[in-house]
Amino acid sequence: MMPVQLHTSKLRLALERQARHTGRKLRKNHPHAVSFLEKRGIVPGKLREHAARIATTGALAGAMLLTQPIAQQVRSATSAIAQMTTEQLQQKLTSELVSVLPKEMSLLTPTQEQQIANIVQTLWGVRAVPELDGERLNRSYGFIGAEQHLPRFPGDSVDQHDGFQRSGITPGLGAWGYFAPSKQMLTQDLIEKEKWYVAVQTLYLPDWNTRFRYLRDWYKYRKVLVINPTNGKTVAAVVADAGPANWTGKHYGGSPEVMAYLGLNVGMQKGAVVLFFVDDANNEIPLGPVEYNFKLR
Amino acid sequence: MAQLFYDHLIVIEEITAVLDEHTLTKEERAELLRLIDQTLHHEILDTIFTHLPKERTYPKNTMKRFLPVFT
Repeated sequence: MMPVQLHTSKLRLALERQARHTGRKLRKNHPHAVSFLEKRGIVPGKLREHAARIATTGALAGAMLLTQPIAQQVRSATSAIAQMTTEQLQQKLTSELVSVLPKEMSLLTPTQEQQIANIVQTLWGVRAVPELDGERLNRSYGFIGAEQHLPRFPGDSVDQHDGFQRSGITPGLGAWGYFAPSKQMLTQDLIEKEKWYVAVQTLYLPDWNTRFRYLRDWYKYRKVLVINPTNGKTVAAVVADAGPANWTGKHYGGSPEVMAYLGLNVGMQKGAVVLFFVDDANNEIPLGPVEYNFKLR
Repeated sequence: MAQLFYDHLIVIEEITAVLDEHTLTKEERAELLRLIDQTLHHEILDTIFTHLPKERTYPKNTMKRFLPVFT
């Protein structure tokens, strides 16, 4: 008898919902235990990946034990990164990403995502992940296109922005409205958020409509790391708008500042980027260019 | 694939056998199994933490005794 046709996309969505549900239940029932694990970089739903990392580290340590003292090896590797210039770090990032990213634009596999997270952690000292708190975008690697400035308060105009005024300002509001209710209430923090913002396709999330209130709040100013794999330039930004539409052939939008730093504000003003969430509960990673290792500074 | 201390107690083969009856790409199969694995980890941890003696669960001594098995 022929097996019943399997709708993989439906099954995937159902499994994702189930994984999120059980993750939330675990967190609700045992918040202290989850917090304990997360503080040590262990995501409860990814115990196997964590175990694999430990096994790899153990094997590596074993191999090093045979050659030279571990402490000396670790010190020298860490020291080498600490002594690298920004350009050297960017070059190393580029060369390592080349071996991980697909040749053509496509979705990343969990293994590729984990490898990229490890590379970013090593070079920039930033914990960047494709999935955070059980939430993830439809893709972690895609094309980013140029966006205009966003109105930050009622009456804001492009000439009140301190850079890239030629990029213009959107006639409508960003997906989360004004950054501040008035010019007087616009803080430096909010200025930075508009300056370093990205648009992501929340509108295409499979559960956007059913979990709208939660997801709207979760994504508002969510910190992300955007990496241009062709030059290694990396920028920390926040989600402050939704889009672009699928028909544009782009998957993310970048503020004029983001696009300029990534070197993508030329020609078609579009390019491939890796976009991961930053796991930064203590808000230690400032917005803007990432140019040194935050753990080794 | 890395082994976890409770793997021998979980019979996942029945699920993989059902998946393998269908024509899935390697990536699709891996992704579905990853999501199943994720749910299992959540449920298993929830069960373990729920059954730890209450007086030891939330004072930090249980954290010190049990949770480091993962680190």
